[in-house]
Amino acid sequence: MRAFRHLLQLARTSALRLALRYALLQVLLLAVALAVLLSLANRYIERELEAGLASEAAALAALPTDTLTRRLAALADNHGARHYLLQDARGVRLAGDLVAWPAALPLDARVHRVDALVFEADEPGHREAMTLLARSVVRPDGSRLLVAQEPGAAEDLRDAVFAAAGGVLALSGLLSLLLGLALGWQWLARVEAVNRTAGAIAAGDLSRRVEASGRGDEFDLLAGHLNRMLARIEAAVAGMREVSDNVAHDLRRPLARLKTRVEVVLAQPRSSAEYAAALTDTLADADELMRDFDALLSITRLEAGGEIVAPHEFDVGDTARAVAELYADEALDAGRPFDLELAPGVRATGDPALVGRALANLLDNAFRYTPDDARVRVSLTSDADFARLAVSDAGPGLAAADQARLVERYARGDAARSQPGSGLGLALARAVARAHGGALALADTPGGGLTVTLVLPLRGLRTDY
Amino acid sequence: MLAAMRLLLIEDDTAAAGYLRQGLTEAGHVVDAAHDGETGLQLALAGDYDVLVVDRMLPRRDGLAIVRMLRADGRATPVLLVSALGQVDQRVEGLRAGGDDYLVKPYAFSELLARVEALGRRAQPAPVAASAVLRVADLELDLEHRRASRAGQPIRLQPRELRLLEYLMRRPGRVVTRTMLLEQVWDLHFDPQTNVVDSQISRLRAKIDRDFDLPLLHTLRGVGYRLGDEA
Repeated sequence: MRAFRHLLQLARTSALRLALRYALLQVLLLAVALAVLLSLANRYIERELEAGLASEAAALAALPTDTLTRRLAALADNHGARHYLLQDARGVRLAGDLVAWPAALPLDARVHRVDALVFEADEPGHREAMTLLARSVVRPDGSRLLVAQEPGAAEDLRDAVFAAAGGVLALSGLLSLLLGLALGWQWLARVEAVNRTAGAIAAGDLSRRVEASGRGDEFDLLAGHLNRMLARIEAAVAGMREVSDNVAHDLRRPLARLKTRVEVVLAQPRSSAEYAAALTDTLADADELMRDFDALLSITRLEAGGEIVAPHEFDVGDTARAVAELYADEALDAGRPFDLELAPGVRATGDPALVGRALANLLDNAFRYTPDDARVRVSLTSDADFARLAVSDAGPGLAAADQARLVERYARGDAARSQPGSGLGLALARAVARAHGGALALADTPGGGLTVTLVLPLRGLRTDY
Repeated sequence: MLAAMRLLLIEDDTAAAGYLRQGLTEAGHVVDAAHDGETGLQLALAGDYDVLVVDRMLPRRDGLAIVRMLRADGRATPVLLVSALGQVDQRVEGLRAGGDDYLVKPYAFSELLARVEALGRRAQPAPVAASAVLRVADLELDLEHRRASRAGQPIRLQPRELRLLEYLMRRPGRVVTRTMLLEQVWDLHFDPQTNVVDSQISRLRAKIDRDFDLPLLHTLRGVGYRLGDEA
């Protein structure tokens, strides 16, 4: 069954179809060539025949009548493929093995195909009807001589040529077919390798890659492209899996809490005021969930290379100042030193709303995870290539290992784990930086604390990924 | 509490228009709708509306042209422009054409309602605007000296908190949304999507409500905030 399916597949390969088409064309061309050859051979045979008949007729006609009569009688007895008839001027049969002069034979010096009756030499009185090639000669005394030849020999030759031609045609057709099958088989084997990989991938194993033969042919080229595509997809899927794991991890708890609250409220009749209060709390939970969810989606979209729909040039300092304003009063209330050191005229290309969001998240973290009196500084500097928007705090700081891990989506420092907050802030800032072609850098603040820097290229968005 | 307003909705997306019309009607307003710019302009010129809600991109005559023609005709009817075009310069263009507010699609209905009602109120002569002191219940804000007090007790507010309180006190009993606050108080035309606005409100609430029985600053979950002595 499997072999049959394989054969069916083979029959459908384009290589086989191509080979068959060529085979057909080749057979056709060969047939035309053979037909021409055959017709030439035919003409040659006929010409030879005519010449033979003519020379014999001329030789016989030149003999004296009585010699001729004897000769014809002798010839008729030797079972040759030639037949003769001699008539006198009045049409009386004188000699030969032909029964009568064929009515259809004109008296010219050419060979004609005629039907005639021939006496059989072995069985007297028996006659045989046959088709003959005949030539007539009128002798000087007015008598007529007919020399005829059975076409058998010529036709045997023609048949032989026909048979040979057929054999050649059949052989060449068969060879083309075999070649096509071999080619198809080879193609199929190469394609099958790709198919097996694709099948394994479709079954869920994204780590599989198409093997290249190393010949550098079009199949290897295809394999290379497919493998690059697969690597990209695998990375994207891994990212998605990470997101969904994180969603499951961080959204399940508030969802469970929300569900429990609703269940408790519904467990017994309550006043409408109680219902309203419960609904209000539920709405608050939903708000928080939605915000986390939005942040997750933003990060994912940004990392997939989207979201910056209409990038345009903007003043990074203006955006930073506007966002910092949101935190200024809180710093004043808490007695927290809060400094802005923004270089003027630093312009980047991208989405100011995203950069603003990233900064807000960094400031949120700085305010949330450091003591109230720890200094927070927002600074903007630039060199020829990059703008650096940094939030430095004078808080407890982070171990180097934690700094590396913290840039990962969702990761939270140990100190922060017990505190509320989704931990998406740094991941979002990183995604924003990357979407702008930049990066997010974590470092120690001189004198203690953490500095998070959003590095944005000044020459616009990266477009090569 | 709110007087019913006559609203004209010019929106070519009939499904969106139907949904908006229903929502605005349920909020107690009388709503006319037009589905193209030309019809909308004719209705706006003929009718006496409190607020126009105008989509920026419309068939037959675009939203900005409608606003320009109304202003050229001397109509001061407040216009809320609604558009999918949300960049700062596009927003500025809308306001320069004579729009009073600019809302970027997609938006929440509560956002649109809050803005429409804020615009409707702005159109009425506000007696408090002229006064140097704003009052809501026993809360007072002296604009001249930038001082706040409640029941005679002074409240210490930071500079931006004063701005926030002023904005709220000029709209007593009205719902204001996060986005409205971000735009009007902090001049920020995007949502940083952290809870920084909530924490600003929380701190302001702590200052004006903590020592008093009657809460004045209310959070309407999923909608926005309201300052007033009605629960």
